[in-house]
Amino acid sequence: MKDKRVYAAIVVALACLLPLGLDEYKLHVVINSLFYVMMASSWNLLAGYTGQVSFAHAAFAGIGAYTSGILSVKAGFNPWAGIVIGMAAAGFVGFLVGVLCLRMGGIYLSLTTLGFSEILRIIITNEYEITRGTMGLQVPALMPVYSKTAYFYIMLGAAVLSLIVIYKMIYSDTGLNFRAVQNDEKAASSLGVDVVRIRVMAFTVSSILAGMAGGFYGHYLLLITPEIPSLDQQFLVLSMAVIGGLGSFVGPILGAFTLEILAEYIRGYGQYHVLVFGLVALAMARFSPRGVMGIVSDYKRRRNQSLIAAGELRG
Amino acid sequence: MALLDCVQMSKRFGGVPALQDVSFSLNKGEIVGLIGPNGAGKTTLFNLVAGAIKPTEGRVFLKEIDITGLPAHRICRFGIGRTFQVTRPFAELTCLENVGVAIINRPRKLKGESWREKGMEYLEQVGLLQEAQTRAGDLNLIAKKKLEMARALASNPEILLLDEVLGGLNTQEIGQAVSIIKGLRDALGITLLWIEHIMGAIMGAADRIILLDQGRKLLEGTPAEVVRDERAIRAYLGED
Repeated sequence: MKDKRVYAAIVVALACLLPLGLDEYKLHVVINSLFYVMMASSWNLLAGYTGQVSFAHAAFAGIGAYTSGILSVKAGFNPWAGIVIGMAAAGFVGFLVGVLCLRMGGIYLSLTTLGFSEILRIIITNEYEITRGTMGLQVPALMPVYSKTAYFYIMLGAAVLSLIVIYKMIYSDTGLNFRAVQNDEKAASSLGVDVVRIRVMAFTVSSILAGMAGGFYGHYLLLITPEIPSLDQQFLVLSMAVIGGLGSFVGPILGAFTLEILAEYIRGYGQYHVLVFGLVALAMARFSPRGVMGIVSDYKRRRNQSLIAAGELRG
Repeated sequence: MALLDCVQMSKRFGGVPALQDVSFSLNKGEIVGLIGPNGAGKTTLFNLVAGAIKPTEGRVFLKEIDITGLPAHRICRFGIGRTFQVTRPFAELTCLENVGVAIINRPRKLKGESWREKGMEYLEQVGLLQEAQTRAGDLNLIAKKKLEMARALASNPEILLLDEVLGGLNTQEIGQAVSIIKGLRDALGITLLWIEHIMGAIMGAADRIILLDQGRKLLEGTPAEVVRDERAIRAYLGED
């Protein structure tokens, strides 16, 4: 436990040095990656730990981004306050969708959230007066003088905060309840787990975190478009979490960085990267449901077992 | 007043009656055997008491409090634990974590002790100490049954509903399991309602037997009375 904290601190400290060695473009890719770390990790909290495969996660990021954006543009709110209100809005809608999806498992929950996501996208696209539709809404920056380096530190701070919340949650009693519900709802409720409360809680918390990611990202891009709550975005986030490793803390972080950086390299081939990632994610889901982290932990376990076996032979 | 009172319980599944007008009580510290041929409604009765399904008619009282139709997790917190006939371990969790789930959801929180420490006590009780860190999905059937029991006990029940915990065990293991189960009553004062097909075991351990047949309570009495009753023999062997 202590060791892990030290490792995490070292990684964050090294990350803080990144702006020294990266040009503006590379820094932009890293900032994008940090947004996806927040998205994939909070989606994993829901899908990987309670088994609720929601397709509305990008939509919640959209709610965070648009709430904050609209408040700061139309009502003169400070963007920082806007982000906080955006998180609350995403959390509230997440709570409602969570309640709506309570009695649904598997495919039905996925279809309902898919529908919700599309409804939201259509509303945003058509409410031109408020959202500027596909033209995009120009929003103010988070600081008086625009600085990519400053944005990098802000996004890093937000990502670390988000990851701390997720880490605390999955290694707490609540996290154990999450996994129990994912494994077997009936057995869980027979042992005193309030399954309804646990599922809605996971939905609400992951929506708040998506709202936060969307809020910060919007004020970084300075232009919010229906791209943020789009299904393309959703499937990219899904691929990152699935390829990295559902139900593992590190998996989605690795997945987010790897896929975002890869996407930049193959950008020349157009939008095909989403297709490629989708195919890889499908293959992963079929052959290694716990992603790259699952392969790593299986390898470790097998190596340990063979070490033990070898020890026994010799002993 | 009895610890648990079930009054005229009925359950129909889409018009098909699974249980009709069954009443019975459990007194504190009793071991009551619930027997009957397949399809008699034993597991349905369990599900009704444990809150997994709601009765069509009838009421359940725990210490005179009406608990009919409460959700399963609340009934568990009221002090009624259960095991499942087909074991339902949390496959991806370790044995210790499986037991931990029951401990952390108790209405009274542990004082000065973590669920990990407390959980080891329950694993020891059923003989799973060595497997504490094993994934529950990797256990064999017998170990899964032990885990099922440890988990139900870890929720600290006053009444424990056991659903065919002896199925698949050999004679020696049955002997061990029966003494563990009797110990629950003798040492911990847990009241047991126990579905079992292995007549030798249940007749030896139970204070009272309830025989269900085709969704109705056919008879109730001491094991000695039941084995002599020709209705019991007919229910099991058919009428000829």
